Amino acid sequence: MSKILFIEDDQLIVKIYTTRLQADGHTVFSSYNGADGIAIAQKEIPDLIVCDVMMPQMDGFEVLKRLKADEKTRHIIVLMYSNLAQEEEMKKAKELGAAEFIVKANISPVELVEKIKGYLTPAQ
Amino acid sequence: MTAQDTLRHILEPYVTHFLHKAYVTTPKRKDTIESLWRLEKIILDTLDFNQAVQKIVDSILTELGYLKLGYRIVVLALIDHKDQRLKRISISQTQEAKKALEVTPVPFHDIVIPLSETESYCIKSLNDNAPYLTHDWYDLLRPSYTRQDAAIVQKIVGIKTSMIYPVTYHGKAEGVLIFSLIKEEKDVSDAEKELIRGFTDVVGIAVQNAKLYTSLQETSEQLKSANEKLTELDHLKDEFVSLASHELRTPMTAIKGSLSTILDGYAGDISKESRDFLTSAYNENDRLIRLVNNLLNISRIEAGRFTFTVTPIDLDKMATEVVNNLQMAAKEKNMYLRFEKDGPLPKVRGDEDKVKEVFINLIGNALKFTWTGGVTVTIEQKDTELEVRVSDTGPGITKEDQDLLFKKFSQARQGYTKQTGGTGLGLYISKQIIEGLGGKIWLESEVGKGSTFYFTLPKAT
Repeated sequence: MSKILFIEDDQLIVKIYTTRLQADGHTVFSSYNGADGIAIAQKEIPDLIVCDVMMPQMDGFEVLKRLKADEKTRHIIVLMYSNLAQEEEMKKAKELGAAEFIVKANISPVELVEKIKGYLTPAQ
Repeated sequence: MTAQDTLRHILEPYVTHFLHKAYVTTPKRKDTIESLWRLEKIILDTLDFNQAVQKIVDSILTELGYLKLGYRIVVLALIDHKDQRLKRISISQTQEAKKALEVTPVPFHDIVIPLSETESYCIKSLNDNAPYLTHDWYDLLRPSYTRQDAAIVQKIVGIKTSMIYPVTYHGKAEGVLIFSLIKEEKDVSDAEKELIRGFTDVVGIAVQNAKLYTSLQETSEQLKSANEKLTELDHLKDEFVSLASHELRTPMTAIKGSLSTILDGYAGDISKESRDFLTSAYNENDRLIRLVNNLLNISRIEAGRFTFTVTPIDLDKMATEVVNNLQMAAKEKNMYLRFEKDGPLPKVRGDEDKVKEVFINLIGNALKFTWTGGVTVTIEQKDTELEVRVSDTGPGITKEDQDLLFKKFSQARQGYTKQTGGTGLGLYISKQIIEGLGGKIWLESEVGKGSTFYFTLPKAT
């Protein structure tokens, strides 16, 4: 099974996904801010990271930039996950190396979990 | 076409007509007519007001050689309707004019004559709409000049005769042209007077023309700056809507996630009744999300920031996903929602997120406006494109309403007054998306027989 990290300041969202992904046998890490998220990513080297954009102190783009600048974490699949989702943000996420930009409100938990599985399957 | 060309285009027939009329009523010699055409061309070619009025006073002296005929100063004065005064506008660039400007006790542009100064020959010429002639500059310069000042300046400059001609527009005197000569009245030929008369007619049009053009330019400057402000406001509005929609979507995401957690069985067993209520809540919340998305899209379209990220997309997968997601909404109304296709489908060129919104809008609408039966989504492969059909067993749409549907804020009126909500934005946005991606969108419907919405997207190559 895989290691998944949520970097997301909305604790309810984290709880919703932790419940589902753990039920599927995955190990789920979470952090409520960018700096902690990067630290966990460096220590645990998860297979996939779901990263919010609007967070206190460090925004998701900065987190993404740092993850992609670090030799150890560069390869990790990052899904940007936000409700602030204009073309500009989506483009920026892609340019910074995100695998995908997901609009939170437009995806159901079932769909996101399916999506995550889709990204993890070819790697296994 | 520049603004100048446009204006000329509008004015030229009128000018031609006007000149033609002038020539017919007062027979003129061929060379007079030719000279007038030359002057007219020079003056009417100049549309900027300041340049035009300078050319008016210079051209007759320089272009037609009236300098050699003893003409030395030409002055244009126009009525300032606001202040009810006749104001000096321009003066020819000759030695004598320069001298006059040096010795004048009153600066040129300060020489203003109230329209009530009826003893002034300038005002007489205006009022009578007729030429006047004088040997005394006091007749022209009162009350700005004293009789003594006028005599001194006239003597220094060496002017013997001045002729005042009204400048008319639409038959109304709008100003005067003053021609000052170093020769006597008896040496002025009829041909000279004839040409001057014709010339002042052209000047009337040229002045209006230039005024119009200059005010047009000012207006267009104002419009430009107003437009810039509006664009800026649109941008700010767009940013506001973007942030507001983030704030609205965040709690909706939490509601969606929480309800899914319960409905998908991750929070323990629930009764059938609870499930039904929670399903309704889930569907209504999704409707709110779609509404916010549509408002966001409209704001983007209006701010001119609606752009596409085109990649090969899998419509088969997308339709399957959307149909699965809306299954709950169909079940809630006891209707079927199916997706049918013939064999594997190639990818199309499109914008993943936006085309998905079209699917959601079309299927969402079909479910919303149907009460019995259900909705079928079909994808069919054509030569160069894929055709998507969303058919419902709803009440159908009248021909009249069909034309309105893809317009902003419109909904078919008949029969839907109370039963359905919505903003009427979905189809308008869908049309913007599909057409923006090079596809077509339309519908076929008959009242009582349901509706089918179609859209096409080009195959990815």
